[in-house]
Formats: sequence, structure tokens, C-alpha cells
Amino acid sequence: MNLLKLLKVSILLLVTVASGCLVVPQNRRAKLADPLMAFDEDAQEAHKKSKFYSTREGAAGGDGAPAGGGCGCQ
Amino acid sequence: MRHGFSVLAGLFFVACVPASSTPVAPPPAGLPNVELVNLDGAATRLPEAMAGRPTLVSLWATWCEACQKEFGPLGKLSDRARAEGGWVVAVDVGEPRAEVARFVKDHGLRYDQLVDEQFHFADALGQRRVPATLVLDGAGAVRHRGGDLDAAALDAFRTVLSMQSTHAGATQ
Amino acid sequence: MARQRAAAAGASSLVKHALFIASLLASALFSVAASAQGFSNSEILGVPAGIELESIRVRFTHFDQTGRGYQSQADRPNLHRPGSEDITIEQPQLEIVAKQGKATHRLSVPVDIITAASPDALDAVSTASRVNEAGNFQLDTRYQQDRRTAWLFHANFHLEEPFRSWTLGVGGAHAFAEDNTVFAWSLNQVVDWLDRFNIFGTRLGRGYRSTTNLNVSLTQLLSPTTVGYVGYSFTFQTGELGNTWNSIAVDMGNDKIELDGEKLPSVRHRHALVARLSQSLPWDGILKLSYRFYVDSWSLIGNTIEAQLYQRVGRHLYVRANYRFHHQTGVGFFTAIADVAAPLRTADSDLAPFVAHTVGGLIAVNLKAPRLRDLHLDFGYERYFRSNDLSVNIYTCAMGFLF
Repeated sequence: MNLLKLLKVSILLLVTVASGCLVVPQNRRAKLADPLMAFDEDAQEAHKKSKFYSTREGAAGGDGAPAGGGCGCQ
Repeated sequence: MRHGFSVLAGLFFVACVPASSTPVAPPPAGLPNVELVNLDGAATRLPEAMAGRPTLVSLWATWCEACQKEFGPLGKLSDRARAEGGWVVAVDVGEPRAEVARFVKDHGLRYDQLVDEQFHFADALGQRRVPATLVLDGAGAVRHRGGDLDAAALDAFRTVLSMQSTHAGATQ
Repeated sequence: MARQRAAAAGASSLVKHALFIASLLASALFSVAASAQGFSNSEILGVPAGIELESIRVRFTHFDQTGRGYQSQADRPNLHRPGSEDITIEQPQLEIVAKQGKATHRLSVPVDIITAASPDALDAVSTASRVNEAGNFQLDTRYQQDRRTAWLFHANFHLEEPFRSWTLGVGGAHAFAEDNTVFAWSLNQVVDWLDRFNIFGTRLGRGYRSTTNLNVSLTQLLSPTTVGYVGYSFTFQTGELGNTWNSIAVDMGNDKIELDGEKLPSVRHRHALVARLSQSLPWDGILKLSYRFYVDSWSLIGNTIEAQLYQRVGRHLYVRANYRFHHQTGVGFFTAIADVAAPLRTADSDLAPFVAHTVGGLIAVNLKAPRLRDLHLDFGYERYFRSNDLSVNIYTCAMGFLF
């Protein structure tokens, strides 16, 4: 898959997600307020996971942290 | 095919984004006469429960962390207001009464509680957030609308309390 | 005369009485005014503290890795066979979160204590076991400008025996559509210094590496029980991009194979596109799914799928099962035995084509405790294994004090 196709897919995904067809009022977010609903509910676990995979797999990135660099591992 | 992708993306955007910016209707000036329940399950309506007292209403939910920071201040305010002839009441929105009753007992909340299980009261007031703070005068008119319990809400509550005591003094 | 004195005394007494009554009236009026006030803002709302401690968390993780890789010289029977990649890593982590007005600060200190057969070239010749320590000091600050906008600041210092790294980052997040949509971005710059050791343990001076990273993402509430996320990450790296002591077998011709260092490009740019979903389930469970597509200028393409299933059990306990699948094609210049004329070469097993799986679980409990909002405990285990002979057992436990 070349870069142009990747960009097009990204735009479509972004637009679909940002379409905001449904607005959930803040007082109806009982389920969404559950701390476990957060994508990275534990920062230490997220660090452990990011460090582990970025030092063992050539594909690093996409988790909000700098991909590569920062250690003597790669 | 190339243009089709762009048209599709544009359609998605045009069709859906305006829905998220639909303006909300302005909230009513007065108090809606909607049925609420107390923690024992007895039905009541706020205008009757107020009994002519200036009232501070705090809309909250058990899952709301910002609301939990207001438990202490609301408890203190409730005691002070009672001495002045005012009333502080918290209205939980959108949760089962039994769950709210258990939460209130576990956390030792001692100010008055009502429950709006189906959001009817919150929706009638046009309130879409928790915490939300309303100040009502003795006649039930909404004198202040806000989010957190803050200085503006306390100033408004003091004002309606002193209006009530001035009115009471004048009529005696 | 006597009459005048009596009149004066009477007038004085009258004044005293008048003054007394006036003061009574004044104090009565004052107390009426005070009771109409009833309460002050500080009495009800309290005085905001300067810095409030929100939480202290500690986590300890033990990694037990076994496997073989062509870049390792340890325990290598011959140059046609890979060396040992056996490692154990102890990773304690400390995290302190404190609130200061609109700012929330997070200080984290993770440390890696690595015991390996041959982790670096200082040990490359002897292949004796040694211990290598690496530590991080990281400070993240989030400033909530108002209900919709936040700014993020990030600083990190990494200290390792032959290695130093500095990171600075900024970012922001803005919510719109009644906070249903959040757009976030961050920019990070990493500068690394490393001692350049060759495969024979000789120090060849200092190497440098620069990593510039940009992340953008969009989080969207899709329903009262669903959150969606898409993100894009771009990273540009330049400088010494290897650890300098990875070895590779080189075919010198005439059936002669020798050990030499890997040769990597000095530039790398990486792209990652991520989509995630978090769904609350009706039976007090939560399902999280994510997919990542990765591509870089070294021709490595990766696809990663993850799933996590949480289940609450009662009010205080929850369990989690997780699975991760990763496939990568390998970099264009990966080889077990390189041609002597090849301009680029690596035998690093992390850059090879492989399929990797991670399976694991976690059990956690949140308890009420005196003076604490919450006491969190968790224990977890995962097993990572991949098709090119590397596997890791990961044991983790944590304790968190939430105030």
C-alpha cells in the first residue's frame, strides 16, 4: 500500500470518526466515565508496553511516544 | 474512482457535522413541574418541596468526579442555609434510586437528595452537564444557572436569601 | 452651684446611657447584617491548596527472555547459527501525580536492570554475564486552560551506561461539539548521545542520533457506550541509528565467512496509522480493539491488531484478558549472512520478518482505605512469542495510592 493510498484511507477514517452524527450530552456519560474505558488507563502499563514492543520490533510508533531513539536498544 | 473517494468523504462531512452543532433550545426561566423521587422512593415535585424557600439545587451523578469534590461544600452550605430559612437539595440525574441511596449512605452525605431517574427534570431545565448548580428564589424563579458550585452561585444564593429575609421583615 | 453640678452629672449620666443604648443598637444591627451574610465563600468552598497530591503508584515488572538472534555473539556455535538473546530485565517504576491549580504534573521514574549474556560490546568478546542499568526521569504537565483546551509539556532524561538521551515535547488538545470530539497533537524532539563501540569492544568515539516525532489524533464519542479514536504518527530519525555493536556474518568469498558490524542507513522516517475502539458491554464488561498500520523508509511494513476484554466482578475487582498479533515484513537489507559488497546490512532479529503473538491477563482490585480515595492492586502475566525464535515471559504487579 503506497503512501498516497494510506493518506486517503486516513482522511476517510478521520472524517467518519469526526462526523459527530450523534452528540452525547455530558450528563449521559455514565458508562464512558468508567476509568477502564480510557484507551491507556494505566500510564505505567502503557510505558512498559511501549518500551517493550519498540525495543523488540522494528515497527514502533503510533502510541503517542517518540518512535525509536531514547535508549541504547535500537 | 479517484473523485468518488473525495465525494464520499465530503458527503460524510456535510451530512453529519452540522448535527453536532445543532443549537440547544434556551432553558426555561421557571422551574419545571416534573416528578422526582426521594431516596425512600416517595414521589415529590420541587416547587412543592421548596415550600417557598430560597433553594440551591445541585444536579449531580455518582460517576461524576467533579461532583464528588462538592460533597463537603454542599454539606456545609446546607447547614448554613437552613439557619437562614433556605434549602440545599441535590438532584441525581439518570441513575436508579436504589443505587443513589446506597452511594449516599456509603459516603455519609447528609443534605437532602432527590432523584431524577429518567433525566426528565434535567432535560426540562435544558441542563446537559453535571455538576450543574441552580439558585431559585422563594417564588421558584431561576436566578442563577452555572456548572460547579462556585463563588457566583454562592453570591446568588446569598442574594435570594437576603431578599427573602427583607421581604419577611417588611411584611411583619 | 450645687444645682449646676447636679445638672452636669445628670447630663453626663444621660450621655453615658445614650452611648450604651447606641452601642447596643449598633451591635444588634451588625449581628443582623452578619446573620443575613450567613456564610462566606471561603467558609463553604475552602481555600485552594498550592499543590495537592493526587496519586502515588509503583509497578514492578520482570521480563524473562529466551531466544536466538544473528546479531548476538553470545553462545554462538558458528557463524551460520544465531547467538543467544537470553535476557532478564527487572523494571521498577515510580509515578507521582500532583495537581497545582489548573496544572497536573506527572513525574515518572522507570528503571531497567538488564542481565544478559551479551548485551553490549564491552562484553562481546568475553560473553560473560553482566548487568546494565538504564533509568528515566520523565515529567509530563497538562495545563487545562479552560474546559475545552489543554496544553501538554513533556521532558525526559534517559541515563544508561553507554547512552544519554534528552527529550522535550509540547502538545495540545481541544474539545468541540459539547466535548464529543477531541483533537490532540504533540511534537517531540529526542537527542541521543551514545558511545560507539565496535563488535570487538573498542570505543570509537561518540555517536549522535536525532528523533523528531509528530502525533495527531481525533477522539470521538460514537454513542453513550462507545469511543472511537484515529491517530497518525510521523517520526524522522537521523544519525547513528543502530547500537554500533550488533554483529553480522559477512561472506568474504572463497567460502570464508567473517564477523563484522552491521551497516544501517543514517536516515529513517516512519509512519503509523492507528484506529481504536472502546466499547462498554451491557454485563459490566469493556472491549477494546485497536489496529495499527506501520510503514517506514527501510521498507518495513507492519500490521498490529490488539484486543483487550475487561470484566468487572462486583464493585472492587476486575479482570482482563488481552491478545496482540503483530506481523512485519522486515527491512529490505535484513540477512543472516551478508554479501561483502552490500552497502547496507543487518542481522538484527528485531528488524527481520516475523509474526509475533502476545497473550496475557491481569487481575486488579480497588479498595477503600483510610485517608485514601482508592487503593489499587494488580497482578498480571503475559507471554510474548514470535516466529523467529524469541519469547518472553512478563510478570507484573502494581500498587497505587489515590488521594
